[in-house]
Amino acid sequence: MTTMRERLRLGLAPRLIGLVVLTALFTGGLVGLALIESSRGALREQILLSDLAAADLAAKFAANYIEGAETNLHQFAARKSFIRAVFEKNLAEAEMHLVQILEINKLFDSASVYDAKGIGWASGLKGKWQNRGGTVADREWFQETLALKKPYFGIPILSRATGNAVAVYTVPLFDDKGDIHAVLSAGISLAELSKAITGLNVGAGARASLLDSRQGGIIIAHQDPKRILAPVTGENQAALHALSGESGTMEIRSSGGELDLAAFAPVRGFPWSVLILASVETVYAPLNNLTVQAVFYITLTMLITAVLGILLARTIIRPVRQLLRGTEEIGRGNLEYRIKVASHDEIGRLARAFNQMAEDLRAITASRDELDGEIAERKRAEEEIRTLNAELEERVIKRTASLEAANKELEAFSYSVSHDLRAPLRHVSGYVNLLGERFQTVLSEKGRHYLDSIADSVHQMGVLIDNLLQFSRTGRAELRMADLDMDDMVHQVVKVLRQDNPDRSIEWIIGTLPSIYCDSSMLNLVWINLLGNAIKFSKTRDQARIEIGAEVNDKEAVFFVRDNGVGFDMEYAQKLFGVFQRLHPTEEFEGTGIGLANVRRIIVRHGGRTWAQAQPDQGATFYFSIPKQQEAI
Amino acid sequence: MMIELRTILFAEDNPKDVELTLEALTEHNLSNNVVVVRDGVEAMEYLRLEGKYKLRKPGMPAVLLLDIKMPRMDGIEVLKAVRGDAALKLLPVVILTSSREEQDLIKSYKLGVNAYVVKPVDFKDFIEAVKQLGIFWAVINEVPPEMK
Repeated sequence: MTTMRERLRLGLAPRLIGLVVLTALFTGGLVGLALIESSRGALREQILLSDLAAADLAAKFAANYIEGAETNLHQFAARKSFIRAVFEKNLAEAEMHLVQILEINKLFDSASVYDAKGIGWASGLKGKWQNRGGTVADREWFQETLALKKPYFGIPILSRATGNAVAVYTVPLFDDKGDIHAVLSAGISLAELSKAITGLNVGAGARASLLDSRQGGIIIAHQDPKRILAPVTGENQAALHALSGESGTMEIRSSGGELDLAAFAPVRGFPWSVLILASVETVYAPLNNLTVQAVFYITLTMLITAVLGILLARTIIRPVRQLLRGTEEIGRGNLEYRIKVASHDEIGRLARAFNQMAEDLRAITASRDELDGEIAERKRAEEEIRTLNAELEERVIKRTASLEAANKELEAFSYSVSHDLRAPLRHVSGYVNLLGERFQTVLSEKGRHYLDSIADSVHQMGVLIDNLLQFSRTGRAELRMADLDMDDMVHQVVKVLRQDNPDRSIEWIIGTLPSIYCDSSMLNLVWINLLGNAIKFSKTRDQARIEIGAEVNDKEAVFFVRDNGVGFDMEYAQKLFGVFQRLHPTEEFEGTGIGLANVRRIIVRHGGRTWAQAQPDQGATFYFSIPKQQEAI
Repeated sequence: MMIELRTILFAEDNPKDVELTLEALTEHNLSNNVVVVRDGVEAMEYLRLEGKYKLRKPGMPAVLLLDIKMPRMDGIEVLKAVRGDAALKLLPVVILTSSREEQDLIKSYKLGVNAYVVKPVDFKDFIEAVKQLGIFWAVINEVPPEMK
């Protein structure tokens, strides 16, 4: 159980979190990379496009710039005063115009007029002009102008007039016959051109340059003045593309080994091209920034995703742990344990199902426990009953044995009493009698009275012993149970009693008496005693009245004997049935007081009860009950 | 009228009972032929002419009056022995005792006693009872021929 929990603690949570994090990293990374890649591409595209546009723009700018210079020159060439001065050889006038040309456009390095043979005649530079009288017949721009008889843009050169790098623009001046009379030339300063071109904003870190495509390519405008007029090297693929008049962009590796981005475009109307070069590092800086930002945001997103994932995983793992804890608790026997899960997802449903299961289990266990308890209780009770029964049996056996022993002892005692107690009594009686008879004459009256008293007491004691023996026997003698017609018995007893008391006037009222299951000789004794008592205690009545009756219910038969005799005080009622208990003095009513004790003992042995109801001088009623079909006790 | 008085064997250990019984019998002139033995053993010796009765005049008593409670051999045992003895079993035996015990009665009758008399406490009754016994058994009753 512990290892499982540990495995889960070490396993499920981090695994789930790891899964989430890995998914986040993988998708985030993949999406991020794709995003960076597409962004880079887009940005690169944009950068290239903007570079190309810049190149185009620069080319247009260059064209306009040069065309402006051309226009200026053509305007002067169209000036009649200037033409007249040239044809009339008015140097001062001509040079005045040429000075104006230089003033109009600072792009012009020089402005000069040569004759048809190429001899320098006039210049805007005036005195500083070194070509006066000199020839330019060897110059390409002059030869081409003569040959083409049109304005011409010469191949850039180092000017002999100024020593500056220039591109010479010529306008031929024709005479009436249409022959070239003179050539107006202006050197366009490549330094100025470079300044203008390189001054253009063509993007961060980008440098624009102008190339002349003639003679294998010459640099005519460059930020580095030293490179002006330098030939374009074949290593530069972009320059070659530019020289062939193409327009486009490309990446090239510079001589220094760095990667450059190149954009190129032709200058319309001129054998020129604009080439813009930018260090890739600089150009792609925003791209790198973008990458850094993208990586940052992607990382951030991944982190957030991971954190959210962990939290989500926890929300999954927590109920799982709770479920686990629940199963452990239940497994440990704590069936009261419930999982607190409020969610409505699968785990929530699982938790609720689990709780339901726990509840069912608890209910089942409870009812089982109850059942177990009941079974245990019943078993215990049965065991107890068995033990009690065994104890009872043992006790009955012991009691029976002790009763038997007591009975035997009692028998022995009774035997002794019967035999040994009576013997001396008989002897006393015998000797008293002999004394009285044999010594009659010797004895005085008083002496005889004493002997009579002794004889009386002996007789009394004999009666007491006999009664006691009888009482003892009623307790010990085995009951011989049989159905007995009580009517019959009572009538016989009454008959005997009437004969024994012939001088008594007694009204007998005898009700119907039921047959009962009893020992007839014992019941006979009961009737003799009760009816004898009734006669005895009603002897003071002139007309005695003795009523005998019975009532039967489903449990027992209750018999009664009612007389109209002296009765007794109910205060002493419970003494009535005691041995030798008497409520009346012997002088009034003879007897030993054993009769009712015998009655009670006999009735009790039949399982019945005895009781009496009386009032002094109002008669008495004695009751006894005998249960139906009782077992003899 | 000449009464032929036969011998009465009287087994009784208590001398007072013996005296009173003899008094009672004397009162009716019945005591002359009474032989008193003090216990069951003596009774049997008398009947079987053994011991100190070895040399007595032969002949059976008319009746054996037996007390129950006696030393050595009690009345019931004597009765049993008499009934178990082919020579004696027809001898009339009367139990004369203080005991009214049912068991004694039953035992005695089962062993074939001829009469069972409870000694009355009252002496007059006692004398009457003894007189009746004496007259009946010693005078009126005919004993079986073998017992003469």
